[in-house]
Amino acid sequence: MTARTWPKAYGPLRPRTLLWQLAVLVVAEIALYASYATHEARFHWATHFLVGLTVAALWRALFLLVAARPTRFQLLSILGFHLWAMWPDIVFRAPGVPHYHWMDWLALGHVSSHYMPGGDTTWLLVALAASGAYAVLLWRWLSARHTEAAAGLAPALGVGGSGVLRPQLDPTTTVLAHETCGAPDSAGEPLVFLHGLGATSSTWVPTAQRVAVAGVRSLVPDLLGFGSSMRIGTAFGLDAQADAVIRLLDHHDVQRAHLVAHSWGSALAAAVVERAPERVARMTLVAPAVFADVDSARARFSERSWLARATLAGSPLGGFVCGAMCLARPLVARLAPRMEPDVPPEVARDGVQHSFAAYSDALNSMWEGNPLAEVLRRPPCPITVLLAEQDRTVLPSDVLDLPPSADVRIVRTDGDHGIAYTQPDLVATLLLEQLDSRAHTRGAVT
Amino acid sequence: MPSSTATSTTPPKADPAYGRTPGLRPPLPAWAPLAWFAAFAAVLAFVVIAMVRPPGPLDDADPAFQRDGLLLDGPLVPPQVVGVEFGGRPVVLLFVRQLPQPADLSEWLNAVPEGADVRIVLPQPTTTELPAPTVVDRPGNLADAVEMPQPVDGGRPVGYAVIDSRRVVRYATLDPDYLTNAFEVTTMVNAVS
Repeated sequence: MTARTWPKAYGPLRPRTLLWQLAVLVVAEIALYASYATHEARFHWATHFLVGLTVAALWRALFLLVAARPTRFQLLSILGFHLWAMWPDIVFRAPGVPHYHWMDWLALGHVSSHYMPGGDTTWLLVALAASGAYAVLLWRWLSARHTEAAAGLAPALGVGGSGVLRPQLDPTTTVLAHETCGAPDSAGEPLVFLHGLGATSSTWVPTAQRVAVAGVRSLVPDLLGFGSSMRIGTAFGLDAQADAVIRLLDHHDVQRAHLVAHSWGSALAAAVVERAPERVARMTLVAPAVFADVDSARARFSERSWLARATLAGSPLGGFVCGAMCLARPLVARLAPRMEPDVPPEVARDGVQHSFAAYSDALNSMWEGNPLAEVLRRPPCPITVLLAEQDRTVLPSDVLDLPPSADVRIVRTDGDHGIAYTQPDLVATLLLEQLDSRAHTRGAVT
Repeated sequence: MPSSTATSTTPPKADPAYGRTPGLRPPLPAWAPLAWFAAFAAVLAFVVIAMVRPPGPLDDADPAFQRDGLLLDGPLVPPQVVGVEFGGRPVVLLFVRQLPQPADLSEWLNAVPEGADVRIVLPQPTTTELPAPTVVDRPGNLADAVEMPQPVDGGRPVGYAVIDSRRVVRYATLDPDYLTNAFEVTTMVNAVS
C-alpha cells in the first residue's frame, strides 16, 4: 500500500502515529503533574486533566459523527484540551494573573470545575464515561469499515448518518431501492427514471404515476447513496451508479429499457448506454447535465448552493455541514419545504436524503469523465432532449450548440431546471407521445 | 471514480474519495479502541485515586476552596480588628500555628510586594524576633473577620488572607505549605495593589 492510496481518514489511527502521540502525551502529562505536585496541588492537575479528557472525548466523538472519519491527533488532543483547561494556572505563575470567574468561559470551566460535587471522583467517572462512549463509537466505526473491506468494498469514508455505525451494503448483492409503477406484464420497454443530483425517486414518481395510467411500466430507483439507497455502496461515481442501474434491470429481467433522466441523471444514463448499449432502447433526457464550458458550469453550480460551492472549492466545510445535517436529518427534512417553496414538498424533503460522499462523487462526476456530450454527438440509440428555456443551471445553448444528430430530437419549453418535478404532466405527455407513435422525429427541434 | 485522473492524482483533502481503495482495511483491529480504553481507564483510575492525595489535617475539607487563586469581593472588615488597622493599604494576614525558621519566613515575606503591610497572626505570644509585625489573637477574631476557612482538624487556620485598601477581603485560603507557595501571595497582592 503506497502512501498515496492510503486514505487520510485512516491516518490518525495508524499505530505509529498513535504511539508517538502516546509518548508525547505521557511525558507532557508527567511534567505537568510534577509542576503541580511541587506546589501540593495535584488535585488541580487531576481536575483539569479529567476535564480536558472529557472534552477531548466529546470532540472526537462529534468529529466522527459529523465528518464520518476520525479526527487527527487522537491522543494529542487530550493534551491540547488539558492545556486549554489549565491555562489560567499557567498565567497565574508566569505573568501573575489571579483567577477570575470569566475564565470559566475561556478555559473549559477552569474555576467552576473545582466545585463539582464529588470532586475528582465525579470528574473521573465523567471522563471515563465520555472516553468509553467514544471508544464504543470508534469500535463500531472500525467494525463497519472492516466489514466493508471483507466484502471487497472501498471504505465508506465521509458517509455520515448510519454509515458511521453500520457498514454500507454491497451494491453487487443489494438492489437499488426503487418503486415500480404500472402493470408488470405491460408490453414494450419499461421506463427507468433516473433522478438528478441531490434528489431521489420522488422527482419522478408523479410522472411515473401518470404514464402508469396509460399502462406503461416504470422503475423509479433511488440511486446509490441517495434516498432509500443511502446505505448502499461506498463509491458513488458514474461507473458504480451505472453498474447498479444495470443490476436493477437484471433484477427485474428487463432486457431493454427506456431511460428517462433529469440533469445529472442524464450523465448516468449516458454512462449506462456506454456500458451496455444493448440494454437501452432509447433515452429521454430532461435538462441534461452537459456543458460546453466546464469552468463556467462549475461557477454556475457554485452559485446554485453553498454546499456545491464548498464541495467544488475542496473545502472541508461542505463535508462538516453536510455531516451535521446527517445528524439532524429528520429536522432538516421537515424544514426543507419551507426553505425551498418553489419545489414540491416531497422533493424538498428528499433533497437531504444523501451522504456527503454521494453528493460529492455525483457532483464531481459531472466534470470528470462525464460521457454525455459524446453520447449526444454519437447517439447509440434514439434520444429525446427536453430543454427548459429559463434553465440557468444547465444552459439550453450547451445542448443546442452540439453538432446536430439525426437521432437526437430536441424539445424546448418554458420552465427552469426543475422542470422534471414541476411539470410532470408535460414530461408524461412527451413520454406517452413517444411510446404511442414510436415515432422519432430525426433531428427535429420543436 | 468516473475518471482515471480522480484516482491517480492526490485529490483535495475534503474529497471523500481520497484513498478509497476496494478491500482496504483500517489500520487498527476493531477491538483496539475498547482495549485501549480498558488499559487507559485502569491507569487513570490508579493515578487519580492513588496518587492524588486526600486532604491532610491542616487542609480545607473541600480541596476546591483551598488555594483556588480566585480573586473575590469577600466580606468587608472593620477599620480595626485586634489592633490591626485596615484601609488605605493592602494588608496580608499570615495565620500560623507554629513559627517557621526565621530564614524561611523572611523568604516568604520577601515574596509579598512592598505596597502591602504584613501581619503574622499567632495564637500565643512569642519571644522569637520575627522580621514582620506580629499579632496575638487567641480567640481568633481576625480569622473570623476575614472568614478564614476551617481546616479538617477543626483547629486554627494555617494560611493567609489578602485585604485590599478598601478593607475588602479579596483572598482567604488555608495553605499549610505556604512557604513553598510564596509565588501565590505575590500574584494575589499584586492584583489588589
